Amino acid sequence: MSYGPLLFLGILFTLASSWVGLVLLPHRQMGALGQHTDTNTAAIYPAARSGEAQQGAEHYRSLGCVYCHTQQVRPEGYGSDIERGWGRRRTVSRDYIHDKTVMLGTMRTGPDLTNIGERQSDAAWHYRHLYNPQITSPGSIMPPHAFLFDTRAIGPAGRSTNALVLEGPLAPPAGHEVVPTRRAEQLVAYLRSLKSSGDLPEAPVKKEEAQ
Amino acid sequence: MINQSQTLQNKTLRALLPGDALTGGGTEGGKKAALAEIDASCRVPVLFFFLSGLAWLLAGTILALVASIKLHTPGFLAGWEWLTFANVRTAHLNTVIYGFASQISVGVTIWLMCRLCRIPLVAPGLITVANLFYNLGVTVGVGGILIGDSTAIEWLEMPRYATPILFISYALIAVWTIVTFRLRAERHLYVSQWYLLAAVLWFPWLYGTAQVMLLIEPVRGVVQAAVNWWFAHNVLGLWFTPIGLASIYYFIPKVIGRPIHSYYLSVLGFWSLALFYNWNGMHHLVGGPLPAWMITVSIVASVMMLIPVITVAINHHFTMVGHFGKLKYSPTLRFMVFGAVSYTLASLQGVASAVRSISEVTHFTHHTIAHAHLGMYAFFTMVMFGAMYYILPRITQREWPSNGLISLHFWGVALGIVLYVVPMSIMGFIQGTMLNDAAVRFLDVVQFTLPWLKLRTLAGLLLAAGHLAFVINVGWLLVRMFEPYRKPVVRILTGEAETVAAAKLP
Amino acid sequence: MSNPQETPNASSRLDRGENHDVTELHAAVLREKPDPVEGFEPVNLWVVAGIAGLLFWGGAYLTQYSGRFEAMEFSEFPHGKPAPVAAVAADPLAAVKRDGMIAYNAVCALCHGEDGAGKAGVAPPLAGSDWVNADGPNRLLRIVRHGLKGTVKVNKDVTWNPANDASIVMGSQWDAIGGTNEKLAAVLTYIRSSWGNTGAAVTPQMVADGLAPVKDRSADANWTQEELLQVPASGAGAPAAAAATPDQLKAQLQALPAEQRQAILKELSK
Repeated sequence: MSYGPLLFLGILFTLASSWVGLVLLPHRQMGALGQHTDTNTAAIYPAARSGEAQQGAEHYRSLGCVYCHTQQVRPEGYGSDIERGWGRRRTVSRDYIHDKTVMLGTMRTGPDLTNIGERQSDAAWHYRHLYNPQITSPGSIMPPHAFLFDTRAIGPAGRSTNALVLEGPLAPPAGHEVVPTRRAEQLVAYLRSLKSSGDLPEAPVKKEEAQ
Repeated sequence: MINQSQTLQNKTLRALLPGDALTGGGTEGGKKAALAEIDASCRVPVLFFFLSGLAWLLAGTILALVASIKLHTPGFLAGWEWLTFANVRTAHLNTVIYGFASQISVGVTIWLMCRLCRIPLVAPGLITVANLFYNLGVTVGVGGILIGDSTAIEWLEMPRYATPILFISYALIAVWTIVTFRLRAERHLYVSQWYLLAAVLWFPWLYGTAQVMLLIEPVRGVVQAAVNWWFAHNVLGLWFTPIGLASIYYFIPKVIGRPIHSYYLSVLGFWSLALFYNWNGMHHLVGGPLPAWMITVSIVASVMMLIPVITVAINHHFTMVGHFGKLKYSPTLRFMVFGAVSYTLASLQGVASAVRSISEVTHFTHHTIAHAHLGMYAFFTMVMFGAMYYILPRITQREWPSNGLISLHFWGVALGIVLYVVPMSIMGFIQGTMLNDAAVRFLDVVQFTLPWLKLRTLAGLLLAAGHLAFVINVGWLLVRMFEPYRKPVVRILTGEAETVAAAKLP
Repeated sequence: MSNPQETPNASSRLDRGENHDVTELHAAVLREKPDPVEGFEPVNLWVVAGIAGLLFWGGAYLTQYSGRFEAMEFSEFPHGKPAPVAAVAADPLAAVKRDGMIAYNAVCALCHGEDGAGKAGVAPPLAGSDWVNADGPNRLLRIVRHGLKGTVKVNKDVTWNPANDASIVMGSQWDAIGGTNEKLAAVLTYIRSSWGNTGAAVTPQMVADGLAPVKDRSADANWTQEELLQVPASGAGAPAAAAATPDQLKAQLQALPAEQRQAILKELSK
C-alpha cells in the first residue's frame, strides 16, 4: 500500500465517519434542546439557575470537583444510583442544557451530586463539609477546603449569622469566627441548586402514592 | 561517497552490510541517504523533543506521587489552594500526556519518518519552532491549571489561552510530515509510515474540533460530553496508539533482523483500527445521559477493536517467535515486547469494560484509572522508552554509559507498573461491586480502597526510581557527546561477530 | 597504527586511549540490521472466521439496542427491561428496613450520624430517644414532614439545646427522603428498630392517617416541642387541640397558609 493519495483519503474518511456520526449528528439532534413545559402544571423544567448558582458552577469547575464527583444518575436497575437515593429518575440530555461546562464526571471517589440540592439543602452542613469533610463525614478522603473560608475576629455586632459552628481542635481561637467567603457562598448556592428530578416525557419520574 | 563495503577486509562485516545502508545511492524517487547521515541530521531536533519530554516526565512523576499520596492522606500538603488534589491530578495528566508522551512521540515520529523515507531531516527550522511553541504551550497550560483556570474538561484542561499555542505546534509537525513524505526517496511505504502519517494528520483535526466545540463556541448540554470523549478517547486511539504501533512494527523486526510476519495482517490491522477506533468514545459514558444509540454504537465499535488488536498481536508475536532469547541483550527489545504484550492486554481489558454488564461494575471506579495506566504507561510509555534506547545512541553517536542503570530502569518501571495496574484493577472491580450494593455505606467503600491506594503510591515510587535511573543515564550519555568515543556497553549478539566481539572485550 | 605519541595531532579523538580493533570500532554497525521489510504470510482462516463472527455480533447488537437511533430514546431496552426475578424475603420487614436504612444513610445520617448518636452542634441523637420510642409515630411523622426547631428533651438524660436558636433548625426532609408515604414509613421503621430503639414498625397507612390532619401545613412551618406534645403519639392523629395559650394560638396561625391567615386576621380585626 504505497500509494500516498489513497492512504490520505482513507485516513480522512475514517475519522470523518465518526466526526459526522458522533459529533456533528448529535449536535444536530440535541444541540438545540430547550426547556420542557409541563402541560398540567405549566412548570418549566429545567429551570435556569440563579446568578449566584451560576457563579458557584464556575467555582465548582475551577476547584476541580468533577474529578471525584459525578453528576449523572444511571437508570433504575443499572447500578444502584436510584436505590441509593441519588435521584428519582435517571438523568437525560435535557437536564444539562443550562450548564456552561457540562461536568458529568467519570469517577465516584465521592458520591454523585446530581440531586445533592434535594438530599442536603442545609447550607450550614455544606459549609462544615467544605471546611473540613471529617466533621460531617468521618473517614472521608475529600481534602479540606479551608481556603474557602476566612477566620476573623468577631465584630462588635457579635457572631455572624453564617459563622460555622466548630468544636474541638477545629474551633477558631477565642474571639474569632470562621465565615464563608463569597466563593464558598456561591459554591454552596450552586450545590443547593442541583436538582434534576423534574418530570420529562423522555424520562418520567415514577409516580408512587404521594401524600 | 566511497563504497566502504569494498574496502573492508572482514568478510563478516561485508556480508552484514546491506548495499544501501552506508553508501547511499538510491533507486527511483531520488537518492537514498545513508543511515548515518539521516541520524546526524536528526540529532538536534530529536534531542530537543526527547530532552524536553524527559524534563516533563520528571515533573509529571513528582505530581503523580503527590496526587497519589493526597488520595489516601487528604491532609498531605492541604494548606495550599493551588495544590488541591484536583489541581495536582490534572497537572499530572497534562504534564505526562502533553509534556512527556506527546513530545517523545514527535521525536520518535521525526526519526522514524526520516529513516523510513530515507532522506535527511528537512526543514529543521520548522521543527525547532514547533518544539519551542510546544514547550511554551505546555508551560502556560499547566501553569494555568495550577492557578485555577482548568476547564474541567478531561484531557482538555489547559485553559483557552494555552491550547492554540499547542495547536500551532501540532499543525507544524503535520506539515513537516507531509513535506517529508512527499520528498521521500524510498517509494515503498512501510507499515510504520501509514500509522505515523495517520496519527500526525488525525491529531490536529481532533484537537481543533475539541477546541472549537468545547472552548471557543461551547455546544449545548450533553453534546459537550460527546465531543469531549470523542476527543479524549481518540487522543489515545488515533494519536498515541498508532505511534506506539508504528514503533513496535519498526523496532522489533529491526532489532532481531527478520521481516514482519504478514503484510496482509498489517493492512488489515491498520484499516480496521482506522475504521473502528474513532467510534469508541462514548463507551466512557455508558449509563449516562446520552441517547441509547450513541452508546450502543460505541460499544459495538469497542468490541470490533478485537479485530485490529488480535491481528496486530498475531503479527508481532509470530515475528518474535524463536527470538525471545534476544530480550536478554537488547533493552530496546525488552521494552518493545513488554509494550506490545501490554497493548494486547490493555485492549482486551478495554473491550471487556465497554460491555454494559461489566461497565455497570467498573464505571466510576479505580478500575478505569488502572486501565488508563495499562494503556498509556505499560503499552505506550514502555514502547517510547524502547525507542529512545535505540534512537539516542544513534543520534548522539555514543553508547549507553551504564548497563546497571538500564537494568534499574527496566525492572523499576516493569515491576512498578505491574504493581500499579493489577491491584488497582482488582480493587476497582470490588469497589464497583460494593457501590452497586446500596446497603453498603459509601464511606465504607472509601475505607476499603485506602490500603490499595497506598500500594499504588509504593508502585509510583518504583516508577519514579526507574525514571530517575533513565534520566541519569541520558544525562551521562549527553556528557559523553563531548568526550571521545568509548567502548560499547550494549552488545547485540550477531552470530559470527559475537565470538569476535566477545573475545576482544573484557 | 602509528605510535600515539608521535602523531602530530595528539588531541585527535581516535588516539585518546582508544581501542584500535576494527570489529569493536564497528560494533554499532555490526548491530545495525537492515531496515525492516514485510513478510507475506497469508491471513489465517481462523482470523477471518473470527472477524466474520464479530461483525455478525456487532450487527445484531446494533440492531437490537440502538433505540431506533432516536435522540430522546435513552433506554437500550426498547421493549422494556426484563423484570428481575423477585426474591421472596424471609422477613417482610427486612426489605422495608433495608430501604429505610438506605434512605437514612443518604439523608438523615448526614446530621444524625450513621449510628443515630447525633452530633454536637448539629443534630440530637435518635438512639434511645423518647420521641422515637413512643407508642406511635405521629410526632415523628410531623418532624420529618415539616421540620423541627428549638429545644427538645430527647430523653430523661439528654436535652437538645441548640447553641443559637435561630441557626440550628431541622428543615423538612420529606422531599429529601423521596416524598412518598412508603419511603417515610421505611425510614421511621428503620430508625425505630435500630441502635437499641424499641419502637414498632410504621406502615404507609399509618403515615397517611397520621399526616392527614396537617396536610395543608406549609413545609416551612417547623414544629416546636410544645406544639408536638399536644399531638397524641398514636392513634389517628387528632387535629391540634384547641389552643390553651396565646403562644400556641400564634403558632397555629403561623402554620396556616398565608391567604387563610390574612383572612382570619382580617375578620378578627373587624
